[in-house]
Amino acid sequence: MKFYRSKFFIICVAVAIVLVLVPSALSVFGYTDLVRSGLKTVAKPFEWCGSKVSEAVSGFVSVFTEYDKLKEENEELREALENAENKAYENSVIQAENDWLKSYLKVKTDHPQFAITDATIVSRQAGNYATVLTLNRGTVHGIKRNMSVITADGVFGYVNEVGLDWCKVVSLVETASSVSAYTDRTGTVGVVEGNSLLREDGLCRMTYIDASADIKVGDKVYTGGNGKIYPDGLLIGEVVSIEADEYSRTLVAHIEPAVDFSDIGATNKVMIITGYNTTGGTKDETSPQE
Amino acid sequence: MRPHRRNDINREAVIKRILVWGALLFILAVAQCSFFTGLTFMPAVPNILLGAVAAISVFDTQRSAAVCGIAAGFLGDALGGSGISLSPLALLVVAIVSAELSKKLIPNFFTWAVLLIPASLIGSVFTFVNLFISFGRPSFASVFKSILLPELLMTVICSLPLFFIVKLCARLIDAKGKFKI
Repeated sequence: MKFYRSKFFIICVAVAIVLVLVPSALSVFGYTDLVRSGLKTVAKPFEWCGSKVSEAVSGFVSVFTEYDKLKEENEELREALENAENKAYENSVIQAENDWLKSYLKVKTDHPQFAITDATIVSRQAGNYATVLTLNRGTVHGIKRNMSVITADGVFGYVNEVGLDWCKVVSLVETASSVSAYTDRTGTVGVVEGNSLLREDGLCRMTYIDASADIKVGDKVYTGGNGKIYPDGLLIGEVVSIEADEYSRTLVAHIEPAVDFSDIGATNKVMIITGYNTTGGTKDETSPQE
Repeated sequence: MRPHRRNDINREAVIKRILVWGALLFILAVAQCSFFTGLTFMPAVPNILLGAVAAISVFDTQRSAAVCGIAAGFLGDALGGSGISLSPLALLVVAIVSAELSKKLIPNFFTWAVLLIPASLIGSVFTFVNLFISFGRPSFASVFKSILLPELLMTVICSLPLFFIVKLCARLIDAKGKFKI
């Protein structure tokens, strides 16, 4: 009890009260005393070191304390991403199908004389540039040899071989393909056929063009309808170059097909013309000859 | 010659105390304001200055503890406080009460741990008073749950090792407290 009556104790209490009141009052009025300011300046580098160590420790500890939380969050995000990806894929499939149906309807509207069956490409010839493809339609679906196959862009090829529920299609750029054709601008006629050299570039050629014919790059080429495979007026492609034939007095035009054989579309669908009427009246289901 | 010599010895002891306790309190104040405030995984910032003052009060004299309490409070306020602060008064009370209690305890680590509880409680009382002055009438239940209890627990836990640190420092100055060095 002697201590509490001592001068020392009273001075201590007085100093403590002063140290409480003075800084508090200065703080309330927005001032900072010099002693506190000086102390803060001296302590600043030490505080910087302390905070750096603290950050490191917190970072290390957070590996353990926040691991479960982060793992859970990661799983949630992964699931959300998967759902979003699935939804995006579904949308793209629906979009592709929608595009396909639009093109199908357009062909039906533009060519009412055609009887059309849709088919899906189920396999392709191995190689970068597939020109022989297998479709999921066969004799049970009414498919016969030499029926023409088209897309909304133009002529694709013809049915070369038919099975019960499948058929093989030879594309326009294949060497076995040959079709009478004409250009839209001047009506220049010729025969569009596949060529082994041009096939690699995705091109075919139009031969038997009269040397004096008016044909130039950019002309659109359509089917002539003279053969027994392709009906008249289907777009084949566009002239990309013209040269004189080495062996005869005719011209040869290189044609870029309207159909991109390397990219049929996400739906992998084509149309088989099962019959057509050249007069534009009722459809003749038996036009293609076996 | 004799009184003069005794004054020299006292002065030497005082300087030693100022240097050792001053350095320790400065380091702890910096640690409290920078290191412990950055530990985001801890629910509250521990008042290790309070623990240090309590430890000094058991290892050194009541006078030393009182001065250290005021100095620690001022340091804590200067480095980390803002606005109204009662720390110098709070830590003075902690120093005096701890010194009184240590006289009644068997001097070892476990009694030190027990001593930390009333010391921290005094700190909590002053924290509540501070909140009362600063924010009007805060709800005691919510303040107790979200501020006082976490702070009290963290103070007790983080101050436990200070027993050994202060004991080491007390050896340097040949302190004469209740607890044996």
